[in-house]
Amino acid sequence: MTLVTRGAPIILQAERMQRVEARMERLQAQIATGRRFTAPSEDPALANRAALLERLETVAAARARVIERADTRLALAETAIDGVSGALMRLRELALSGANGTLSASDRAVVAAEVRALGAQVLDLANVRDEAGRFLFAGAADAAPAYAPDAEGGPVVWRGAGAGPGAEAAGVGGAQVPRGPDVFGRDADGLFASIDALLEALSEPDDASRAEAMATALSGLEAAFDRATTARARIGAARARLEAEQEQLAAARLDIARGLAATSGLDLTEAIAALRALGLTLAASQQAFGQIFRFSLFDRLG
Amino acid sequence: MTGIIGIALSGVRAMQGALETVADNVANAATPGFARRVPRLATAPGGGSLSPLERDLLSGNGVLLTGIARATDLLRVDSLRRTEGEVAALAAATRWFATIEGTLTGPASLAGPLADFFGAAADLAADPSAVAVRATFLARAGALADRFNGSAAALDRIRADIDSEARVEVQRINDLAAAIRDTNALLRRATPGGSAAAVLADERDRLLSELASIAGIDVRFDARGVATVRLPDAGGPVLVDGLSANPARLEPVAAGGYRLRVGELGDDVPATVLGGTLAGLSAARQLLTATRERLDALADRLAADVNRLHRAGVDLTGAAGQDLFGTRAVRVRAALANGGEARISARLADGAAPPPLRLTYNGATAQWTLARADLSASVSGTLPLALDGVTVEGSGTPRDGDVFTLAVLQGAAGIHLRPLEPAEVAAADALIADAAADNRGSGQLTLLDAPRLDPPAVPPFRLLVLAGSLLELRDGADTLLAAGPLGATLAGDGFAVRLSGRPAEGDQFRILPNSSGGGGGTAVRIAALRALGGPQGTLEEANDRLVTGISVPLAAAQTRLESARGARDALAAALHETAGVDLNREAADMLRFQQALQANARVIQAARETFEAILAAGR
Repeated sequence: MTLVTRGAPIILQAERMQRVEARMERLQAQIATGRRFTAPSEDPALANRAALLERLETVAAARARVIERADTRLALAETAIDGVSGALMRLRELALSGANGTLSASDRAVVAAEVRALGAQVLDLANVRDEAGRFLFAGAADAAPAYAPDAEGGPVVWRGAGAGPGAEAAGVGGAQVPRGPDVFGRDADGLFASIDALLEALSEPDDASRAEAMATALSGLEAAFDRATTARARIGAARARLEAEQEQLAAARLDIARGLAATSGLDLTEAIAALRALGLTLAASQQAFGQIFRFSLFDRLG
Repeated sequence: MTGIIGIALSGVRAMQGALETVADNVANAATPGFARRVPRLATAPGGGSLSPLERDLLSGNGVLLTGIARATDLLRVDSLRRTEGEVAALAAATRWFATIEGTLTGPASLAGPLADFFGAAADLAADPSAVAVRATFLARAGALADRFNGSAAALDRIRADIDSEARVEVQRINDLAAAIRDTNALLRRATPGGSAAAVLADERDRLLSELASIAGIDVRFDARGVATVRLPDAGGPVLVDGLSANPARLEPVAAGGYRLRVGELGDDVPATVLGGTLAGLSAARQLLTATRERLDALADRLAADVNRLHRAGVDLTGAAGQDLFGTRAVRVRAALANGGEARISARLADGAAPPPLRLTYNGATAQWTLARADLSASVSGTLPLALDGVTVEGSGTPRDGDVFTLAVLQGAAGIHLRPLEPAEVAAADALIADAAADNRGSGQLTLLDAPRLDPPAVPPFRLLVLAGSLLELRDGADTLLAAGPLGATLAGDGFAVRLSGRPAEGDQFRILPNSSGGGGGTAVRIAALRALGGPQGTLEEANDRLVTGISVPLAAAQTRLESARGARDALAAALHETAGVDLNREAADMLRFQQALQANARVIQAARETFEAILAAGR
């Protein structure tokens, strides 16, 4: 398009120069924001793609938060289970020493006291809470403690139900904290029943019956230790899975960021060069306009 | 000899007239709509002779200024008028399309609040019991509803602005039609070829081009240049016919645009709008209507989908979920003539769908009356008053005769977050299902929706695996609710179960109401709505389409505007070549006419000298 000619009406020429100025303004806005377009209509297809990428980024960010949250809960459960394993090792030692026939009744009472203390400690660990104050091992019914004595004040039983929140919102299954029974065993022969059995065995006066009861309690504790270890391993596997997801997400987000930069990012060099060129064009056409319309033949008439 | 003087005198007169046209041209060099005047010179039939007796038969006849022509090209003027109309239409469309685009993009974009809402739902799913997360979820839902309201209100304002601009433009059409009619009347009386006729023709062309930039017109001229104008083409109704002008009125059409009705009321004919600003406004109004419909559909879909899931869940107290979004709101408008200072607010009961209502105050009895607009029902008394699910409250002092209108808003304007406490967010599933701890098999239980039973069954429910993979669903009173093989769907009370995988005989599953409101199953489902496709794709894709539905026509209109401007510029330049005033050419013409004038004067002088010489010779 010729900007300035002698033929075109002056108003139109001024309008053309205004349009060049408008283009320069748009370029300046692009340079100021670092984005190739400020309104989708400047390039609908590209804007649509950018919107898609931005959405992918928010989805990825939400997934990352969900995964992190699930990982935090798993980490809390892991710490609690480590504590349970430690207590179980001590309980096994105590059971072994209690099985020793040389211990007197009063010695056994001392051992029993420590077992009771360890039992309370394990119960506390089984009722560990997350930051929101919800009981980790209670599954979905996490408003009440996961483990408590049953209604008659009898043995400790699991009060939870269902499965707790995991990372389903991020599309990752199996990231829930294991349910109580998966860590502490069934109510009938699990960890708490074994501790009760150990305490009962320690108070058994008859040596032969005591030895038999101690053996049963010990095997229950061994089973509980195995179960806790298995649960620990499962949590470890789940966390590894989450970590892998996180890494994959981070890589995906990097790709998204690259895509966004390519889609809506501005090539500064190009934009500034274009701005310069337009500025030169405008200045030149303004000067030319001035020159062309400066003189007419009337000036030459004597 | 007198013949020479007569001829030269005719030359002097003609050159003077020609010089006057130059002066006129130079004076009007910057007058818009001025067409360059061209003196029409012709050989005079009667020479310059005063009397046939004095006429020298051998001499020429001199020159005559027969008239002043306008150096214009009717065909080009007509083309330019049409392109001007096209440019005006595209400029108006572009201007309003961009405004409409602004209500749904940039800071007003729905994309951010939608992403935030679904992000908050995902956070809620990961952390369903945290009060802060629940509060954030509610805040995001509220912000999303607000954004819908904001866009809807902005679109309504734009519609009102477009309407008022269109009304002003139609008023201008009527004013211009009247002016063209008046010019027609003057043209009919003016001498053809006279300078008065040229001035009137300039004015007529200017008025026509202004009219064409408002609405597409078809123009015909008679021999005297009197214009007949039709809307929008030769087959349309007559706006100006010689000495009469018909009034035009604006009429909105169903698709959202406009058309005109031309003629006296009751005797009017519809005319489509095919060019000019009005066509642009019509296109903008159509786009606005379509956009508003899509926005409403998006809001309705969001509210329906989220509410359905939210109602199916249970809140932190184990109570069944309520609606998260309300879909209707009441807007109270005080009449402009109200003299009092009463402030009226209205609340809408859940699920109420009232007709338009009116609230009036009677100062004599100091009572308010809340009535349906069609007066089919009303209540009177002191505030608060309730009718059709609308409760009206007020404060301040009213004056007798004050009127308030209450309209129900729906869709994007009506969506709002219901007043829920964070604990009332139903993030959890209504039922919890789990496998007994001593199950030996690896059966997977899936819960499905099913109708409630009457009489209701007693929770908790148990699913038992019998020999041969037969399943039994029993309630808390050990009543058998359903039985079937593995993989079958067994209906319970308000739910159904399906067991898959490899359960072992004797395995048990529990299904019990979620009385503690733990878990985030419902939140997971709400977060999963993000990826749930519908006829328009996911909610966010539907929003993308909403935006694309504006940005693509806008981009197209911008491109077309550029090319229309280019075409207009080329036409204008071409017309300027013939009709425009070029000072250089005028200067050259001036020299030419001046020299001719001087030459003619010189001829008179020579004739006089010759005459004198002859006289002197005779003495």
